[in-house]
Amino acid sequence: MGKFNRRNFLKSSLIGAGGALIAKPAISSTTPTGGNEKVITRTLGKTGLQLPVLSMGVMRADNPRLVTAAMDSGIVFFDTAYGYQKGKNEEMLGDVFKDYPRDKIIIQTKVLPGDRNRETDSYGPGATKESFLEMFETSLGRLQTDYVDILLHHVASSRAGVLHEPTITALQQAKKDGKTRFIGVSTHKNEPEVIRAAIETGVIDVITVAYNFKQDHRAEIGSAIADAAKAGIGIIGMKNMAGGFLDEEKQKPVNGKAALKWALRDPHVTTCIPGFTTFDELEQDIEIMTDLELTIEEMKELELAGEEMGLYCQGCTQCLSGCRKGLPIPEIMRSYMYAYGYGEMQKARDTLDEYRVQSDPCKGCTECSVSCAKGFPVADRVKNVSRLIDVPEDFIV
Amino acid sequence: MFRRILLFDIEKFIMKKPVFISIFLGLIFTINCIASGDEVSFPKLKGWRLDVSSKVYTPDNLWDLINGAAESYVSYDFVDLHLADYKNKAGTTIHAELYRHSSTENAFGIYSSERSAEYSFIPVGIQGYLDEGVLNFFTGQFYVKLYSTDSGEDVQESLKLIAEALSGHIGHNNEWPGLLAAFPPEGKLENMDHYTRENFIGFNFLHSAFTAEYEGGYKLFIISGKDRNEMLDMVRAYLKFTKQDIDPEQESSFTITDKYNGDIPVVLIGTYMAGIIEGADSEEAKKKLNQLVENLGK
Repeated sequence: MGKFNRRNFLKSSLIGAGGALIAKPAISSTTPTGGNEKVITRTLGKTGLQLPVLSMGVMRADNPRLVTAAMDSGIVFFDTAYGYQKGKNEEMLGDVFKDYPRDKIIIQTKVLPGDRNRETDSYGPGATKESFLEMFETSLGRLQTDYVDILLHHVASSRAGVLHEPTITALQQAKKDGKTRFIGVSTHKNEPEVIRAAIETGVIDVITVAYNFKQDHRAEIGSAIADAAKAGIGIIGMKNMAGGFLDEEKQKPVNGKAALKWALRDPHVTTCIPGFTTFDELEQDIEIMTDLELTIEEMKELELAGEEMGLYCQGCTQCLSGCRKGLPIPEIMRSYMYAYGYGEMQKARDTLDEYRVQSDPCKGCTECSVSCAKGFPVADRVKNVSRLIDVPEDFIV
Repeated sequence: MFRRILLFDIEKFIMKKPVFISIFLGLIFTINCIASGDEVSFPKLKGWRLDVSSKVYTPDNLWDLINGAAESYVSYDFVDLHLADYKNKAGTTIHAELYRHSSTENAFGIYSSERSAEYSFIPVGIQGYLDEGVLNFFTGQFYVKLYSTDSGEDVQESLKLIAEALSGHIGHNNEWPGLLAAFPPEGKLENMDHYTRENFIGFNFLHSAFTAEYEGGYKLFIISGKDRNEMLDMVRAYLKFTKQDIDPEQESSFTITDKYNGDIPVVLIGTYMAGIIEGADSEEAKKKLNQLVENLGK
């Protein structure tokens, strides 16, 4: 977990909530945009690219007019991938970009090496340098361009995945051939491990990483990002909206602007790529290009989000004195997080076994006397997760 | 790759520990990581070993498997995903993915969002296409994806064989979504029709839209409301955005002046709004729109 563990981060966050967290982010430079307003730009690591803090993740957009509207609004960086909409996403962008000077647009695309085991992020013999480059050539054709600015190894989720030799060789070959200016990886699973592996390669220029206010391990990601930035790697933030809703019923939408500002508070994050699909979302998001200050009101909304959806027990131990059964509640909450947050049943069960939690641990208590600082429904969570004890090991995947 | 839960194991467990039946079932449905779905099954094929994954993906965890692409599937009211591998003695493995959506319209929506007119189409399910090591088709509520990392003619034949078997097994409805038939056929580009469930042409107040592309570059669309009032609400929201003072209850044919998408001539009929995109000045497009409205009125 490194020197910056989750517990310390949460404590320091709570202490500093009134001041440090709403500090203005570092701004590297500004660029005029036609009007009087100034677009905030940052430098993407050693690439030297100056990018507005807001860019566009085109993944789900299928209306070329939305892309042109984004360009008219000052967005210059567009993220797509070989696999998005089975290539139609790149084709749509190619049709739009062909009418614009190539050097005014920054294009990032991503290729996922073939023959990949999605569950283990391991590659079979079919994941060759040649097949990777063949897919990339297809992307260039769809995009109607001779080169992209950034080519990424798509969805790396482990150290072994990042270090996959044929893929690294393919990326380097594409760069050497002038078909991409910079190379990198994208990740939204095991991000710290992937980021550190990317540093280890010594050849990665850019990392596009999931980074949002709801991630339980956001402090670890932030720490890894800082290390990457120190190594000169440019960081692009994605999945900043954390799924777009605060609740499972999808009745409480995330304040998108606040979520983007939260990610961009990290000065190492050069730009974010929200995947807006409506003009309304574009108009709202565009406001952060000139104003990154996270207001107290916005901060409260994000903190509220953390409290409402948080599965992470901060280990304050306030609950312990209240439990008549003397249960190891922080550890049971951790087990709950493994099961319900990460879907890691075996890990959840192991944690229960380690702390010798018995079947139906609340048996005999008619009313729960535990008080949780984060407001977790402790009795319900204990009851739900402890049912794992009754499931035979063979049935747990 | 897959962990299998054998039926007799479950039965033995239930027989031994009846008091835990409800707990066990509650857990597997709550956490949704252990059991496979109860309605979807894969056909057995002679000469092929079938391994059905015990893991069923839902909107809550589809992201774990296909990452960001999950958002597109969920936007088409994805219900669940069932996985299986078919393996034969020659060593060929075909991976099968059955994405179930809430309706044929939504299955067509996600299928058509990934379909290109240049594919080699084959008659399987409602429609499918075959590429090297890949066969995708849709039938009823299902978008089915078959693929193999093996190659060769026998793999292509295997893909077709398994697709036919799956289509026969799960395809209880092989009818195209009905509204597609309303588009005038003359000049319509093949395999360029789509269904968009939400955020049509970039507006969150427009949904449930079928589009068809025509020679000349224009598109016709049909937006289908649940009832006339809902359709009129969509139109009003659009007119509010464009700041146009038009009462859609009084006028059934007008042009929406959209600063992003250009001029959009529309006609309101029953529960439908029909219109033209990228062709407001085209007489041919207007003629086609009239034919479309006529077809919708039948």
